[in-house]
Amino acid sequence: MNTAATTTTDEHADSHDHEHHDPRLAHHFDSHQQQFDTGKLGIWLFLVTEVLFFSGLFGFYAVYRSLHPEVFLYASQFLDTVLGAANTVVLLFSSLTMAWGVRCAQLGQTRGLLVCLVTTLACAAIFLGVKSFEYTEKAHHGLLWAGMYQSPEHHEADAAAAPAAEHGETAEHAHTAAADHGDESLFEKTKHTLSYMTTVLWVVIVLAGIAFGVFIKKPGKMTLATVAGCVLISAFGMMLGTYASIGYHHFGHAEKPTDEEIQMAETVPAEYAKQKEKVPEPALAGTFFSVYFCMTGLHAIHIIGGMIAISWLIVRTVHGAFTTYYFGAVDFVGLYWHLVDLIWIYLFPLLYLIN
Amino acid sequence: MSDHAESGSHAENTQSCHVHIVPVKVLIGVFLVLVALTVVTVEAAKYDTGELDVIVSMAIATVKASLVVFIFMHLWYDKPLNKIAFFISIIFAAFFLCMILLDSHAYDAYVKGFQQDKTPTVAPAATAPAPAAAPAPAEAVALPAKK
Repeated sequence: MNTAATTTTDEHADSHDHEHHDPRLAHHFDSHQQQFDTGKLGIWLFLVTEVLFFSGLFGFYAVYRSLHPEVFLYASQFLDTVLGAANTVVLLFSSLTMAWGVRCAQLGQTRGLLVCLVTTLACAAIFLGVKSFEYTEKAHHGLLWAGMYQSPEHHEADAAAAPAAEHGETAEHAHTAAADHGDESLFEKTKHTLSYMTTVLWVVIVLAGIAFGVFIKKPGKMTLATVAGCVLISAFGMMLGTYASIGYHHFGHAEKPTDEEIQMAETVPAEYAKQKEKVPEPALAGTFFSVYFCMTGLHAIHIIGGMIAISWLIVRTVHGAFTTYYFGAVDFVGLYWHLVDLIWIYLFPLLYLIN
Repeated sequence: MSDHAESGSHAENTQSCHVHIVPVKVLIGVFLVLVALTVVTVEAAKYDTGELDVIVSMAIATVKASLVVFIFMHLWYDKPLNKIAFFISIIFAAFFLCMILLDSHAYDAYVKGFQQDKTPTVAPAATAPAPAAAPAPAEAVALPAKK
């Protein structure tokens, strides 16, 4: 390339040789500043399309909620606010580490950048882990999109059928026990599915490792090791998130409802308490879960895309691609990641905090 | 391209990229404020404020979102073109939401009228001929009586 350029006696090619030797600067840009600004405008335009893309789903939500507020009131009680809030904090923290990573890249601190990116990746994986627990739990409770939705009343009807025969004080005791049992068995099923999914996850990891080994011609050891590390971090993060939420469920289940239930049972007749605390089920409850799965599902897909992009950044960082004047990729992936965070900031109160 | 050859001293200039760098203290401060606001929304949702509920939670979400956009995404220090691009998308999204909400409620009066016209004709056919005076208030009275 070099020799060819010099033999073609061209002052243009000559200038190329001396000034544009930098492989980080594409040919059609005058300077790194110009390259960075162009890329930044590009990513902002992409974010514009993302905002408009999500606004369709927000429109679905707004119209449906304004027409049937009672459906949202009823169905959002099945979403766990604590898990949602925990996920929000995890995502906010990942946003912080991403912004910090961009700062490190701008200052040329490669080690700091690497630490920040790995933390961001792990937080994203934890978010997905918690989400997978929520999805699995809902699937087992029959809380799916319209058409697949099964009324949660039928579990309680099953549970209530047995103790309805006997009366007196033991009846309500047996009743709560049966209800607990029903809930407990569903939880066991959830855990079972999740452990099955963990096994699948490990199979995927092994297969991905083999695929990378086969498909990358002459794999640089470092690249391969870094990719494997990213996949491992993601897998461990997801397991951590899942088992943390299982642990939370264990803990919360043992402590909270019994206190409330005891108080309820002591102060008011069980029949009345049950009637009072229950919001009547609207006919279209399944549609809330359509909205829920569409919006959080699309958001989760964006998280997965972001995780892939962050892994790519980690590989490039390990190879020392980023310097004080070339950090555009980090900044642009960071902007995308903040947008994903932004969408969750709106989704969380809209879905979880309806009163 | 050709004007490059004459600017030898410019070579160093291409190797620089001037951007705003956010200090660590600001980043951590913004994160703490975001977490605090999350706690505030969760707590605020526990109080039953009726219609105000959505407005309050959306207002808090918007404060959080603008913190993320302006500080984490550097939009405050960014070029005007990027700001304009992003805010136009927000404005159009808001416009879109307002339009479909307007449209879906444009026929509320007609629907109400239709339902009021329809119910008295159905009711006598099913049960005893009830007085045609508005069945909706009758239901409203019946519901609390059930409880």
